[in-house]
Amino acid sequence: MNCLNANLRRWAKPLLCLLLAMNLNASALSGFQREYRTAESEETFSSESFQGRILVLDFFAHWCAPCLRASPLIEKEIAEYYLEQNGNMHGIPVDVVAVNVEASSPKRTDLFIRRTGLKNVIDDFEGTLLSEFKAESIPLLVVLDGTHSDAGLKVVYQKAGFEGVPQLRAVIDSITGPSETVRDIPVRSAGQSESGIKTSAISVERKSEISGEVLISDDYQLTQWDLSYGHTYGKTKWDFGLGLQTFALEMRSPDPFFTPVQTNAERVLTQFRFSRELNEVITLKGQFGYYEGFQSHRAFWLHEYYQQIGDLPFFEDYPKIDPRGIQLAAQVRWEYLPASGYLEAGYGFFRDRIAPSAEFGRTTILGLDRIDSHMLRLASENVINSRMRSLVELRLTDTSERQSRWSVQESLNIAVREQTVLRAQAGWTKENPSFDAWFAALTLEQDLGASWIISLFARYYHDTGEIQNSLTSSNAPPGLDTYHAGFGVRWLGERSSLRLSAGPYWTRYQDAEVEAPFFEDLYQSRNWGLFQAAFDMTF
Amino acid sequence: MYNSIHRKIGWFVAMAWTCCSLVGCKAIPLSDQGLVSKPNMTFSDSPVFAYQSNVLTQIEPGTAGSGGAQAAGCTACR
Repeated sequence: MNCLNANLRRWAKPLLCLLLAMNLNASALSGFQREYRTAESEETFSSESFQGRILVLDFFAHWCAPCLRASPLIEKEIAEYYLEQNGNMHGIPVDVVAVNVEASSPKRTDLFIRRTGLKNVIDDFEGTLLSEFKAESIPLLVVLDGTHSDAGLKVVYQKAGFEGVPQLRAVIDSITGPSETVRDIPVRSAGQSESGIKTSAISVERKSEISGEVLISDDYQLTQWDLSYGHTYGKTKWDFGLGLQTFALEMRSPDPFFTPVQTNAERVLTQFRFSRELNEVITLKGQFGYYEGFQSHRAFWLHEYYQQIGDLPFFEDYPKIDPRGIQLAAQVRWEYLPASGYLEAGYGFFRDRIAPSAEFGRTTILGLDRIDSHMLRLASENVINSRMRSLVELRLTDTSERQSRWSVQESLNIAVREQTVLRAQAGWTKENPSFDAWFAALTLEQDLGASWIISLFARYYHDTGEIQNSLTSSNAPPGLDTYHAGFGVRWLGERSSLRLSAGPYWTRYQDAEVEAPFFEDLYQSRNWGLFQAAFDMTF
Repeated sequence: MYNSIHRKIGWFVAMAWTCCSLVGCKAIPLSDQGLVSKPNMTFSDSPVFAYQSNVLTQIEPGTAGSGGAQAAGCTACR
């Protein structure tokens, strides 16, 4: 006979402590005993209290994201529903008890319980109760039938993962008890409460995100602002995003025909993403995006330069261009180890209408004004051990009139201590004949209580300079080294979170005056400041 | 010569890291999932958790994770 020593939790008001002594026999828990104790009175209840009742166990931990979606539904649509109905279809009372399996961070567990609205919570820090069901992942839902006095509590349902309220209610309502009588109660759908208020028996979550970045130097200012709204309805998820990029530049050039100018531009982006879980392990994803405006401050700078030169009377006019583009992408995700590993494969198509490069002379030579790109992406995330999680991404991009570009990116998160996380990231990109780039980044995060995390980060990037185009005066950027360091703070609330970070950023170009003399200003080494803010809310 | 040695070392480190990342192809017991499931231990697209800067990809063509012309570093056509 095993004994579960459950710890007393201060948040569980009516049912604080469940002491179980059980003997697992096939699918029955015979000799099941329990004691409930309230915080105030230390009142205990004997195992006979479950006789003639149905017990639903909901195993959870504060770090379990699927539990966060399942537990509120179980509390509302199972516990409250059957309390309101005075039992299942056969009149048998139903109890729901949530079982916390995580001992660390009790404040985060408090947060989880407040957010999910769980009423009856017990602890199973040693995993004694969990081990009786030989479970390897949570959420774990177990339905125990206590209506057969001779068999103790009989396991009638056990499932790792939440299948949904209708399935769980079907199991509970199928328990007839010894008398097998059916009460004459009105049958209602899962989405209809007795009071007539429409409720949802399917996990519904809405999320809004807003973020902003400002990169600023003495003469350039680049910003990006994003707003998105997402909706999760059971196994279907979609989100819609709007973005705005701005470029404010003080342009100069050694070109005697060019007049310095202060100018700015915007780029507007929209994006729609959709995903659908086909089954427990396969998810399909789709994405569509559209933008108007220059993709980067560099493209804008070059366009302004060519426009000004093309306006000179002895050159042909540079064409008026309205840069814009679309993107289409599809991905399939295979969770070969739920919560521990997945493989994702995807394809993306991009069509960009761009401002072409130009060479002015007797006849103006223009580059391409439309390019198509095809991208293949393969990604795999794995939990390596109890302290390390990794993500590997491989990309292959093929663009009009270019050779294929390969990118590999690896990320490794290491829980150095319970409150300290080290995030390491490195990437490498290659395109023949001569473009190579790599970067490495380290971030150290430290928890300060349940809600605050501070971080320090450093990052280095190097490339050999982009492949020069065929023009006499190439506008391709020369080799570049960048250095980024900073400090960040993140706050995690019950339904919202916030991140702020700031730090210096240095760009160091090699030989800009030799490689791209007319564009020396664009490829000048600069000292920047990068400021980032992001906020999200779930409701 | 110097670059060649560095390239070989880089390849070796990248391959070793890739292999190490993929050996985690086994389920982790529930009791060991607590630390690796913390919000800041997971990889997320959310701007609150992701560290990727969208603005910096304008300057660093080798880090552009998506997009057509920009990701491919197309300078002849910009």
